[in-house]
Amino acid sequence: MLPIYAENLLVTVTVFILLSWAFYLPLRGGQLFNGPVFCAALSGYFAAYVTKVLGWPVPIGFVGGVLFSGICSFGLSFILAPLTMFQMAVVTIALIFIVQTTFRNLEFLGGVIGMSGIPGIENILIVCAVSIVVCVVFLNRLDKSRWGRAMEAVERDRDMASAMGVDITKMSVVLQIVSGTMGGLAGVIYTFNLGTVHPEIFGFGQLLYCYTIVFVGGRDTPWGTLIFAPILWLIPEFFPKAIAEFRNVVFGAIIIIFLLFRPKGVIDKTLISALGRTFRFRKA
Amino acid sequence: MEALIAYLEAGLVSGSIYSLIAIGMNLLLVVSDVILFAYGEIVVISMYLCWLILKLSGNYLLAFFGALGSSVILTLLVEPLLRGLREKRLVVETLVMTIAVGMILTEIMAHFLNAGLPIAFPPSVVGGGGEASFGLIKIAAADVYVILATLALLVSLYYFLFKTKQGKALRAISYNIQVARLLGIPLQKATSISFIIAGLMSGVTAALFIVTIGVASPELGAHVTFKGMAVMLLGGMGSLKGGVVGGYILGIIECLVRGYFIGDWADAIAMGCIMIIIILRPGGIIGGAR
Repeated sequence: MLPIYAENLLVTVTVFILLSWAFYLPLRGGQLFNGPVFCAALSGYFAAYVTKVLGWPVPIGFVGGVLFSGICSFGLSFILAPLTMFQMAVVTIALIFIVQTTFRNLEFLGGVIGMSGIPGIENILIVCAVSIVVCVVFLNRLDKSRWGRAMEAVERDRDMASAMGVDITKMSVVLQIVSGTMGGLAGVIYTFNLGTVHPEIFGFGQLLYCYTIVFVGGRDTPWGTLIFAPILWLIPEFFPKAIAEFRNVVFGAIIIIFLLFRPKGVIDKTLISALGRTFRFRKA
Repeated sequence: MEALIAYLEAGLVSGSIYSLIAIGMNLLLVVSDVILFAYGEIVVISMYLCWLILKLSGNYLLAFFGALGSSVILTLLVEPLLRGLREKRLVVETLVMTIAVGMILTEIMAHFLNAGLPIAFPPSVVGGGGEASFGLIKIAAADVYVILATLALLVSLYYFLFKTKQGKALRAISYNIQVARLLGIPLQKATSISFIIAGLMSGVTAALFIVTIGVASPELGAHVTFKGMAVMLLGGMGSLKGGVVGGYILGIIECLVRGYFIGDWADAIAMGCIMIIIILRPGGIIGGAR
C-alpha cells in the first residue's frame, strides 16, 4: 500500500495525462478545443451531486459522470461543429467561464464553496491504470486507422481533405465527443479522489498545465504526453517552497521557450522513427 | 421608465469600453492573424503601473502617459514571440503562446505588485469629478469622458485606416496577404503598426477603466479578455464594424440583466444570447473575415 501522499500524486498525474490527451486528440484534427476543462467540471459536479445528495452508488455515479460529459459535448457539438478554428478556440474558452459562473450561482450545488464529503473509490489506482491503458490503446489504434489518417489530412490541409471526401463536420463532432468524454473521465477521477468539488477546480490554471504538457511533450504523438506529464508534475514537488509558489510562471515560461525553439515538442514523429531505426523496432 | 433609461446609459458606457477592447483584438486578428489572449492582462497591468506612478509622483498626466506607454511596449514585446510561429503558419501555437503570456502577466500581478491585493484608485480620479443626476438617472463626468473618448478613437481609427497610406496597407494585408506582399507592402512594418495601435487602444481602455470602476485585481485581466472575445463572437471575428456594434449590444444586454435579475447572472445570460446568435448566424451579426 502506497502512502497517501504518493497515491494522491499518482492520481493527479493520471488526471492530467487524461486531460492532456483530451486536448491532444482535437489538435490532431487541427482544432483548438478547450472543451475538456469544462467537461471535466460538468462530470465532476454530476458525479458529486448524484453520489452525495441523491445517494447513488459510487460506480454508477462514476459511469454516469463520464456519460453525462459525453452527452453534454454531443449537445454542444451542434453549436461548435460549423465554427472556424478561431471561433472554436474563443467559444470554448468562453464556455469555461460560463460553466464556472453557473456553478458559482447554483445554490443546490453549493455555490462558491462547492460540495465536500463525496464518497471515495476503494482502489482508485487500479481505476487510473485501467483508464490510462484503455486510452493509450485507443489512441494508438486510432493513429493507424482510416480515421487517424483522415484526421492528419484535415490538419495538414482542410480544403484538400474535404475535396478528397473526408466529412469535416462529422469528424469535428466525433472528435469533440471523444475529447469531452475523456475530459469527463479525468474530472470524475479527480472529484472522487479529492472528495470535494468547487468552481475553481477546473479553470484557466488547468488549461495552462494541459497546454504545457501537450506542447512540451509533442503534439503529434500520444507518447509525449504520457512521458512528460509525470516529469512536469513531479519536478515542482522537489522545488523549495519559495519557487513552488511560482509554478504557473514556470509553466508559462516553459511553454514560451518550447514554442520558440521546438514548436513540435520533444517527441515528434521524426524522433520516433529515428528511435525505431536505431533499435530496429517496427517502424512507428 | 427612469430605471430603464439609467440601465441603458450604464450599458452605453460599458458598451463603449467593450467596443474598444474588441476593436483592438479584432485589428490584430485581421492584420496579423493572432488572437491576443493576453490583451486583458496588458490592460490591467497598465492600470497597476498607472496606480504605481500616481502613488509615487501624484501627477495625473504622467500616470496616464505611463499607462499608455507601458501598454504599447508590452504589446510590442509580444510580437517577436509570435513572429517565428506566424512565419511557419502554426496558428494553434500562436493562440497557446498568447494564453501563456497572459498567464505569466497575471501571476506577476498576483505576486509582485501590491502583494497580490486588489488596488483602488484615489476618489479624486474615480468618477472624473462631478455628477449630474435627474431622479434615478445619474450621469458621472467619467461616463461622458468614456463615450467621447471612444468616439474620438473610432473616428481617428477610421481616418487612419481609410484615408492614410499606412491604413490602406493594413487593409490590403487583411484582404489578401500574398497579393499585398507582391505589391511591395512591408509586412513586418505593418504588423508592428497594428500592434502599436492595439497597444494604444489597450492603454486608453486602462485609463477608462480607472475613471469608471477605479479598482483592479489580477483576476480582472481574464475577464477583460473574456468580454473582448464575447464581443468578437457577437459582431463577427475580425470585423471592426462588428466590434463596435457587438460591444454596444453586449453592454446594454448586460446592464439590463444586471438591473432586472437577482444574482450574478449577467455573464452567463449574455453568453447564452451570444450562443443563440452563433447558432443562427455562425459568422456573427455583421459577419467577419475569420
